[in-house]
Amino acid sequence: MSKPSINFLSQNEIESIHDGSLKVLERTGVKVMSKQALDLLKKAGAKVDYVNERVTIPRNLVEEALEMAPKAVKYAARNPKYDFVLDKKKSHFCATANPPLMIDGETGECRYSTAEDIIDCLVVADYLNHVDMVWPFGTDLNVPGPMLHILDMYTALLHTGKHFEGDTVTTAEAKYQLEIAAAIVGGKEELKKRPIISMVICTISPLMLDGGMTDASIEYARAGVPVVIYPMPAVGQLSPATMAGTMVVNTAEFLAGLVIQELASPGAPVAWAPSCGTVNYKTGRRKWSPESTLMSLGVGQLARRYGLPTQRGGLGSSSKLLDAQAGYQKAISLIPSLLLTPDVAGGIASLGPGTCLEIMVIDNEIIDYALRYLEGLEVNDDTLALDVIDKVGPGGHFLGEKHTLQHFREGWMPEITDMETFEVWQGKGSKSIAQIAKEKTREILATHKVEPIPQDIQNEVSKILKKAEAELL
Amino acid sequence: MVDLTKIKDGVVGGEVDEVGEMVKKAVEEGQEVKKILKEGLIAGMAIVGDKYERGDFFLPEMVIAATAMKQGLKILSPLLKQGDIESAGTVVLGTAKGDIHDIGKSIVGTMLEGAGFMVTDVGVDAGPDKFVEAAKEKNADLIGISALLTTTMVGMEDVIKALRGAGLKARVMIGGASVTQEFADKIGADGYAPDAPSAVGKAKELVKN
Repeated sequence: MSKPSINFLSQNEIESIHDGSLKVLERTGVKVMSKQALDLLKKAGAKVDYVNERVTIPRNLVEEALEMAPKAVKYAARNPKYDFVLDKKKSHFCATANPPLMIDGETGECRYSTAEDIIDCLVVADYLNHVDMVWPFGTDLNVPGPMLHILDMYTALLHTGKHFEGDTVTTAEAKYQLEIAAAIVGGKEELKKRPIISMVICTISPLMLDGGMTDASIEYARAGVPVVIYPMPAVGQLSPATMAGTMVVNTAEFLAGLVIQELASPGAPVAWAPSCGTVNYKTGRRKWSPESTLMSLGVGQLARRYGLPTQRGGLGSSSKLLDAQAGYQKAISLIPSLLLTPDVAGGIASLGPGTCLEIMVIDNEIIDYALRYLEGLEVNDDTLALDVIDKVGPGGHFLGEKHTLQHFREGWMPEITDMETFEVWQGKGSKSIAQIAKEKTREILATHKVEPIPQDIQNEVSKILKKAEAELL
Repeated sequence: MVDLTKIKDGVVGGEVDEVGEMVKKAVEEGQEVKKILKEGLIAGMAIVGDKYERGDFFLPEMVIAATAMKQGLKILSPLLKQGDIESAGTVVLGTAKGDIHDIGKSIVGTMLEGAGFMVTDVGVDAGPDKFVEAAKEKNADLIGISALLTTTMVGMEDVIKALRGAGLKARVMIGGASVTQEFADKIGADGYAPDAPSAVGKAKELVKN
């Protein structure tokens, strides 16, 4: 199959960004607010200023880390049929919602998420064929702070059999998350072989690594569980007002995080989630734009050069409605970003400032179209079909041909996209895509059953949670 | 003699060093300090605010103009007498405990200073005690609390409780990526603003009452 793909930055341009990032690390350095990490860096030969928590990182450490980092990373799932590998061959998709706000598809409200919202989203995510993994869908503000990330993870694992990726901001959280995940999958060694969870470490652009998150990521590294390094610079605000400069800041932060991971545990599984954002210069808030897709693709090329897995791009929209804007924003931000096969693309369930349950079926459909497009097409004797063309001849038709029977199911068939004539559409109730999405969502919630975690394991996890509450609250 | 309208233009154009030099020279020339402040610095910021409202200026111009204004103010402050400067109000700003994100708060601080507020920034990862201490010391009219993370946002309520518990009547304003008016109402904050520019308007409104 010949597949569409893209490489738009030249080798020279990619090398400039790489080289620029090395210069930043050597000259400007980064602030790492974790003594543990600073000790690792100092021991490896980096120049550390403990008072200001500043470190400059020599390029040999970067090169060693790039060498050591595994080029394929497994993301396993509680239900093994949902296991997958990040090996640059295929894109997978993540529901990367926007907690704590919900855009309620039924009422149109923007409100804080509830525990019920979170479970509904997980059930729908579990059902949809293009959701491969999930982030937290919402935030239950009734849960005490120190237990939040631990419970985010467990709630997700309870209500979907798919891989969970979340936040972890302290060593204690990391330890409990890892303990619970190990209990579910069958032990620490099994968790290393089949990590059913991963964690995200967001840098603080420009050039800062938070202490708690860094310490937590070191726990994950030592447990052999994947860490996704997620720099989030923003053009003109948290990084230079130029795209290349922003890509340099992103890369420098990533490489700093990578070096720490590989020093903590050589061979630690890492993925890069480069988020190069743009801001609304009126308000300072991050905004959707063609530039963010462009930068994500460009950094993707650099990640290819490193051979590392990426989580980038996806279905972004700033709309607050299940409307045309949501549709076009999501589709036009997804498809270009997939042309360089990110291992994971995100955005499912995100809508404007919050999470939207009902948009997930629309996201699923857009991905379905994109995946068919990316499959490409085959040119060979069979597909050139010269004999069939000759057989049918001028003015004939192909519908009754054996060749047609053999091939017609290769064509894309939509799940929810309406393509009827006006009369048929009207006859079916003149429904908008928003209505169809809501109906499909209700149907999924009414009929889909998630395979539960066995009761004995749930009991074991309850004991771990009690231990966590006793220590942390 | 330094033309004060040139100082005003320098503020509007974000010419940080030039504004500093011109203000210094104007002072050395014996021009009235209050006049330099009013016709040079404050007049400049008024134009900046106006241009922002009209959609001609954006955050980068606002921030650099406020920086220029502060450069001039640094020179004038020690020379201004009590009552010379009509401060718009005294504000204590900080990022909530456990949170080290500070760009939002810093831009709010810069813009409040540009609008004539006296701002004390207690920094990031600031617990209720830090806010209360600074509020008492500066006799603050307004407290601004910022948080990016949902986990730290919940700590804003602790700050409000601590302030009220200490008998402080300062108004409280909150902001942050996940914060909404609904949340502000829930925790008893007096105000909320979705971004730095509107925070200035909200601050002015809150200190008036």
